[in-house]
Amino acid sequence: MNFLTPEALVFAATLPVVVVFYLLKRRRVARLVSSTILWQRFLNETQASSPFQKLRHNWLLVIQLVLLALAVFALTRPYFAGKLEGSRFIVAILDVSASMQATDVSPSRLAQAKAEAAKLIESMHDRDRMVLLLAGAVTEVRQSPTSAKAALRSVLGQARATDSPTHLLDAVKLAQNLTRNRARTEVHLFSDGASPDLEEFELQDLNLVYHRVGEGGDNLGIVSLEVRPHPEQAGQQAIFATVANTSTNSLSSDVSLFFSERLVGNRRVRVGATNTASLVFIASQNTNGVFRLELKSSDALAVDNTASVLSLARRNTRALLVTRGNSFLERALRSVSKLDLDVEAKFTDPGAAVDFVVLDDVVPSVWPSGNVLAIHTQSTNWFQPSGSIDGPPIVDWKSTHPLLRFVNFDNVQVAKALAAKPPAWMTPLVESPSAPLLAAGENNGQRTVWIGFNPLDSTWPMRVSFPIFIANAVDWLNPDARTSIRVGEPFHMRLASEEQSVTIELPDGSTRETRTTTTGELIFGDTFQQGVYSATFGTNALLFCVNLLNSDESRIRSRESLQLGEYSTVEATVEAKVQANVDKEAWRWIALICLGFILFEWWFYHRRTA
Amino acid sequence: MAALISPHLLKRLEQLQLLARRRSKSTAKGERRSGARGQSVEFADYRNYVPGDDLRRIDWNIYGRLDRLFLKLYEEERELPVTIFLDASESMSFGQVSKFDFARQVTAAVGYVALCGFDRVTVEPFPLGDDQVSLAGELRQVRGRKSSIRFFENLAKLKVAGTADLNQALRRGAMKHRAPGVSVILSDFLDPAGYEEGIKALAHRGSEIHAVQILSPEELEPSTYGDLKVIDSETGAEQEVTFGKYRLKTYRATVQNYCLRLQEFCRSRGICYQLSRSDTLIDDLLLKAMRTGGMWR
Repeated sequence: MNFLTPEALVFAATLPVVVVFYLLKRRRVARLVSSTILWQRFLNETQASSPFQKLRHNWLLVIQLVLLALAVFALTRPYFAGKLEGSRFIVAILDVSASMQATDVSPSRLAQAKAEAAKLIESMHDRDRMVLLLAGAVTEVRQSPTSAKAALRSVLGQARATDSPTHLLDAVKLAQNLTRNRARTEVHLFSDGASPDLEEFELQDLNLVYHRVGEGGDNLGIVSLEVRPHPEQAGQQAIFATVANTSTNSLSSDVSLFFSERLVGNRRVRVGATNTASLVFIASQNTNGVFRLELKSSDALAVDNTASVLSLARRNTRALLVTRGNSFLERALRSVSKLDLDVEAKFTDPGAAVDFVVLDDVVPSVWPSGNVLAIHTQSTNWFQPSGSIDGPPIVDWKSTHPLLRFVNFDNVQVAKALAAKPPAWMTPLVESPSAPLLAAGENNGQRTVWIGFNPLDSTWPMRVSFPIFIANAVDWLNPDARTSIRVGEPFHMRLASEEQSVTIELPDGSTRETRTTTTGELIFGDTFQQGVYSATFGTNALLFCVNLLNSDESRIRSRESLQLGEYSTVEATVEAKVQANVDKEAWRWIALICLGFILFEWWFYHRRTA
Repeated sequence: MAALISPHLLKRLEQLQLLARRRSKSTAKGERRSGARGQSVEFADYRNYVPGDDLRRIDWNIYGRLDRLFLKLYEEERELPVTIFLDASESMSFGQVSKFDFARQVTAAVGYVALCGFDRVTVEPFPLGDDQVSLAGELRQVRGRKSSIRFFENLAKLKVAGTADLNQALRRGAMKHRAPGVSVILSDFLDPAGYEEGIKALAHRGSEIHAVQILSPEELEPSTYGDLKVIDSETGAEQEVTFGKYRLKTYRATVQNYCLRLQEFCRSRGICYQLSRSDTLIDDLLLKAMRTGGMWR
């Protein structure tokens, strides 16, 4: 044993002070008695007139001397030297996604996860350091590396569950970066495991401990909600919804549809085990308003029982097609409902008169200022022309992108395409081995869809995927279309042509002040609550809806193991690993013994005099 | 009188008679048998007539049969001197029921029984305050049942005062009362100088001694705990002691040993010993314990 502060032994000089106290006579309570003869056996103290008395054997004195000696011993901060190992570096990831609000465990999954994390904090040694990450739609470093347990406990206590889906991948990647090139690292994940994106992560040598939270339970959840104009009845809106039952029991519930808080439909729905049910409501709509669908189900997860969608009694979309003649494209565009199409052979920038421009195999002298669907053309500012490629095979396409929803390129052959390299802000959506064939992106609020080949040089116009793609592109390029987003996604919309301040009211009633960009675009990222947001700018107001609509979050059965990458699986652990004690200071234990001695001395004194 | 002894108890006491194992050696006439010859109805012996004898005491029947003159002798009945040594020191004032009050009740009872038996009662309070000398004189040599009221009144006027010297009081009493009789000592026997010498002196006179030790409940089981400085009520001496419940047992043993020592001392000298708490019912002490102890019947 060694001592960190041996100079504290100076305090041992206080030991004689205790003895002196015992040499001094005590103040006693005077009591008149008939005679002192009977007290002779109790006359233990001398009757000398000096302030000191003879030191007698006294257990209280012994206890107090031991107590003081222990206190001095503790002050010297003794420690046991062992094989010195580095301190642990712990990354604690706390899942704060919507599914953590589930109440299948009391009081909630998040509370259970916080309790588990608190245990981990308590098990930390003096030199251990911990980083606390909150993983929701975005990963937040809530506490930088620290050994201060109080700070960690405080931060942990402030953690709140969001309505957002889980993206544990970002958190785990961040944890991997934080632990890189460090010795004795541990990553503790407190989650229910409802994050399918983890399969994209290769575990490698990451020391990941999965603390499984929650059990599972009955849950009905709304996983999709969409409103579209009724194709046959003008002035009517069709509201499409999907209700999923993620439990193994058949469940039923009342489903109510409200339009601007007015009940417009109610239905009883029964959903089989692990099945979904589709619902279609028809409602008339005269003004802009919000359709809110509500499940009257008292299941384990409440957040997915409500979804809202903004429906605009919108005007027709205006588009300008600049082409030298493409009947397939023109027919595909005209088949899109509520689209007013102008066809020109030569391009002149219409400005804000149209919602988007379709450039079909023409090179404009000036690039349109609005949204563009550019087919087999390129802007000289954005693309580096590098010739063409013949018969490029389509090897991959991103079917998850809204533009490629229900679009299949399986039997599409392309004869000739541009070998252009799109700019960084564009995402390649359809790729050939040497160059992208289709890309889309947004730059300074201007959305652009670029097709690198002439559809007439391919079999695509003959396929059903072509008109579907055109319809998707019309939706994507229409600026009014994006009034409903998922929780955690940033909301952006061009509001004006110049910078101005915007006040946004969140569903919980709180407000945020922000400003548009210099080009008048509103970008708002604090969308972690589900519900209807209201943006006020100048004299105008704008509503947009934020929904969970995530079947993975609604599937609240807690995962017993996490699949990481192709080969790795992390099983849930019950208790946090307890590391071996090394180089551990002993003063706390000694202080604890001191406390015990104080209590014992208190009891012993009162036993003597009570 | 009522304050000391209840009328009911007085009636019971009237039925009692003090027991004396020895014949009375007093010179005064009374109702106790004695070794002296005198005038009474109890026949004792005959002796030859000598000139000068009272002719009325000649047994003429014997003279008729034997033609000789014999004188009939009768037992002289004398009184029994009863001396009550009453501890009136400051220490006797302690106790919820004061030890001194209790002792006065016992004194009154013993005195009343003696007066009813035509015995001579003397109360010797000690120590004696200056203002109580005449009162003590009133309590000496009291005879006759008629004197009992006055006797009780004087007893009631007695007060505790000063420091007692038990040995000295008993020695002085032994010298003062030469005729042996019955002596009753009512005290707590908590005298730093001891009690042995006094009792020995009294026993040496041939007195029949009854010792009644009276202790208060607080002395037998103290109820004050902690770091104490106990002050002697008589001497003012201070003693420091740390006392707790856990030492109560030891304290009890101390008191018991003290009392046993006194009891053993008394038994070795043929002295009747009684230990009584000051909160004991007086009836129980007088009619049960003292009766069993041979004080009276």
